Amino acid sequence: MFQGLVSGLAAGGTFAALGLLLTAMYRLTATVNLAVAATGVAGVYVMAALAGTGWPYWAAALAGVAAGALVSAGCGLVMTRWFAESGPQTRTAVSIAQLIGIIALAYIAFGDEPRVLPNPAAGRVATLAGVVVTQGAVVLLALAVVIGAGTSLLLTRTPLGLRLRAMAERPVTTELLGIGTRALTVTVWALAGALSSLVLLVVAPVRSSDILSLSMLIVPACAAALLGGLRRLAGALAGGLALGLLEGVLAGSAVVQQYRDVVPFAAILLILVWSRRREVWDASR
Amino acid sequence: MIAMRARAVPLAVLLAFPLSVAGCGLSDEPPSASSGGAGNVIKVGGVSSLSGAVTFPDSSAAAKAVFDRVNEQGGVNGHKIEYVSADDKGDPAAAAQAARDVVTNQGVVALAGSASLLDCAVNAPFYQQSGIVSVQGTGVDPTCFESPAVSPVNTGPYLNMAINLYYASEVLKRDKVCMFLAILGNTNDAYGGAVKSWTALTGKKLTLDDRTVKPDSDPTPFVLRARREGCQAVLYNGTEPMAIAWMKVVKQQDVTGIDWLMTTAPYTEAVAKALGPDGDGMYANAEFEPFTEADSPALKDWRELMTAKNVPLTSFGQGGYLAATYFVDTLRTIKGPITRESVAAAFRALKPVQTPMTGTPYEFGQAARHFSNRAGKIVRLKDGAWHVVTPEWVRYPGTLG
Repeated sequence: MFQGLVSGLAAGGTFAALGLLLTAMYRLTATVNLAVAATGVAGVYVMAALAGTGWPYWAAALAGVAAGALVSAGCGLVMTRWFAESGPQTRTAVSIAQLIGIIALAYIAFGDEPRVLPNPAAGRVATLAGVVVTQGAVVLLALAVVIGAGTSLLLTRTPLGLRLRAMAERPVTTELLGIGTRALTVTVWALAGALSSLVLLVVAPVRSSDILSLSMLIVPACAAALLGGLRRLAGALAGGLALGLLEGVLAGSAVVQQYRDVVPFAAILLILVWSRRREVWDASR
Repeated sequence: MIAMRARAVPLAVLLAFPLSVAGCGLSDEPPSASSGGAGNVIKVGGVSSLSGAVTFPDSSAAAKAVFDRVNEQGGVNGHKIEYVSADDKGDPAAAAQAARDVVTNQGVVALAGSASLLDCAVNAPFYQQSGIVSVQGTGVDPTCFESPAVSPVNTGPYLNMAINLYYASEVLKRDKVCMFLAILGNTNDAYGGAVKSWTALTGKKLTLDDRTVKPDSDPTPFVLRARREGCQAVLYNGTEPMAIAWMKVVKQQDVTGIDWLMTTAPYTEAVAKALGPDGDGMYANAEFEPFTEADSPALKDWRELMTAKNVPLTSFGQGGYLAATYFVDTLRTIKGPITRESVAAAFRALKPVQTPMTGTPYEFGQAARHFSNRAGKIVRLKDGAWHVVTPEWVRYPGTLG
């Protein structure tokens, strides 16, 4: 049991970090950016391509992070240019199109051959219950906390955060008030792309590193973000961690083997129903 | 007049619709399958995954290389071969369309060198109805091995798994054999058949049978479970990126004393390069004479041809090369016109063909299902390079199904 929990730490950090990025993006840009993991994948593959031509790892990784930021900024530009006044539903649909577009373009650009992916955080931190806890797991957890705390500070303590929130929640009013926020919003997108690239640079070497599998990390990340109702950062952090730990425990157990894929989502459904219990039950009464 | 034409168009579409629907299920006579006189072209088809998420371009490229060489040397009895390779895009609808285009519109006499995840599953009944044979270069889905119209030259994932089980328990003499599978599509029963066959053959049972790995799973909990359950040999059917992640976690978690046996899928140069020394101790099952053996006399012709025609040296390329070679050799035995019927008859009458590139002879004949390649050579990664550990073929004494 404890061994399972420890073995799910890295996955928990991954889901939490990506879930927090989703939540932060939703609050700052009013978009459920389903392409956020895919932009990070673009960063990973740019890194691999450059490292393959003899670049030193850190330079290649930096270029990868920049590439991830650039791809995400491109998505953000499309969103602010043509869909600034559309509702969150439309913008989410557009982000699905962007997700599919990035995956297709990445396959064309990089093919499906496995890449050499150096692990920047392969060292060991500790051994708990016979499980080696790697630097990667710690870095991912730290990244999740940093993303969560950073967004929280930005939103509650800075005038910049206030303007971004205004832009996300009342775009037309904000513009009429003379606050130009398009450049700012695109910067948020770029930052999200860079952070997602950082997360994936740590994750990709120890997970199935094909373009599709990595891009689809967005599914558990979405589940994590949902646990926070796409608004509460702490909820997304806890949700991501819980999902990862649950995955670790269930994968190690013979009893629930058959239902492993269902359990996390059944749990999410229950929690969502519980958190909305007043609305659900009061309405039915 | 204009009004009449405008009305005629939808009518023509309506008329054509039932015809095309009929084409989906029923056999069609090819418009130009016959090649009676000398100098005519023999059209040969292939349906492969050439674009999409998982691609197999090497098999059809290798088949084309074989046909090109035959053409350069004067063709088959004076007839040139035209290879029509269609792309199924990894999509069932596109696969059905590709097969109908190649078989019905192009009128090919047979299919050779196809490599796809779903060609057989989608098209095998259509091939059977059309009276056409397919010498599959790489069969992956279970239907490839369960159709009278299709006989793959490769071992396939299921027999590959059975050979690995046999190797682990009977050759390596491991008592605790465990299996982790990622089940994609309709493969569960076929893998189950492989395990059943091995149990019937050896009387042994798996210590652990976990079929819940997903392509995007973190392998850590699975690898730790294998250690906790005391597995001595672990079989895994991961693709290239999955096998890489698996072995990296094995190293990361310091798991030692377990033999990790993979199928043919991760037996590639890219995996060796991506893993480097992290892959030490990983086995794979080569379904043909291992292509990484540069000096193997069995591979001399294949290697020279692939290099000359710029086809990557891979296991898939071996499949395409063998499929095309068997096909050309069979064509040469046909007396009289080369048609879909005469080619199908020649394959139904084919005697087992032995080449040094496979451990068991290639068969077609009249069997309802085809599992002719029942051997593998086991290779192991050491310091980022593949080495053969069984110079002799590991032949599977049982059969599937």
